[in-house]
Amino acid sequence: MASRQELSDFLASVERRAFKHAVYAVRDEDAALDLVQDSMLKLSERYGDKPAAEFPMLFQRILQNTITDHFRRQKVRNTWVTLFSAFMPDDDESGDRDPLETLDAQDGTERARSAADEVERAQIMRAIEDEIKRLPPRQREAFLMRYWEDMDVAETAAAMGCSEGSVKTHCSRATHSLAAALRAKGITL
Amino acid sequence: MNEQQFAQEIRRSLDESAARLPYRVSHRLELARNAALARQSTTEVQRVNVPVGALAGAGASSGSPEHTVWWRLAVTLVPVLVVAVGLMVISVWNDTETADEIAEVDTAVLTDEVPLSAYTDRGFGVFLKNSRQ
Repeated sequence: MASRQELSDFLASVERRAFKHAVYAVRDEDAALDLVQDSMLKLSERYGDKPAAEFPMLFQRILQNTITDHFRRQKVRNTWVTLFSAFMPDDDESGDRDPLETLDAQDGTERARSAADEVERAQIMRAIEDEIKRLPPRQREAFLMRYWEDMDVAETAAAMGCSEGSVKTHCSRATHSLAAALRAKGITL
Repeated sequence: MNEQQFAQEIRRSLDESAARLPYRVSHRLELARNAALARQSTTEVQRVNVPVGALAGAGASSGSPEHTVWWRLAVTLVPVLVVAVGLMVISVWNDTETADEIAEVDTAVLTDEVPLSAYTDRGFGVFLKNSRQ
């Protein structure tokens, strides 16, 4: 049985990556935060007494299911929203951006780099993230779980509910798609 | 560059990107983590009520899963029931109105207020139609 500290450490270690996973899938930061919060609550409430070693796979499965549920709900909601969309004002998210967030993000290990390097690096990161968002959902899930969450093929297959062969295929296709897309943008890693 | 090396480079970029999350996001993640920890399902841990609703956009996650399911079911079914009952009431009321009008004309015919030959008069049909509106 996992202790409170083990669960806390696990959530702290995974929360940022989970947020990014959700953002890549739903492309909306606020929705992604809600999804991560829901996933954390589900893991804690339903599986908080499981061994800590099972947390990574359980959490990934919960997160993927929560994202899928989000899309299902959104599909129903969009049917109504489109009916009234003509009467709604346009969202302008650029207005509430805090310039201090940018300063905050530049703190820490990145200080030593020059401004030009910093901008170039940020552009590359953005390009990579954009291409990851464009991947088909299953390929993206498999790629991120295998190579970012450090899950092995069997764990990824269990979390995705598919065969190990499918995981390997998804990962391979995702890698080739990403490489080709980045090469087309003139980015070499 | 093989698949593993390429994936490592991507991973490095993603790690860097995740480390640069704005304070707004990292703070909300921390709040979510604390709320989750307060609800850990162990017998040893004392449950603490954390105001999850205080977090922005947390409406869907408040309450236990069973309550949420019942609440969603109720929210879906109640409007449907209201509409069904409303339609039934309208249908019954409409039938009663029509029956009353027919009875009124029949009564007038039977009491000789209106001659039976009125039914053969085209003007009487128009009169009845207009009087119903």
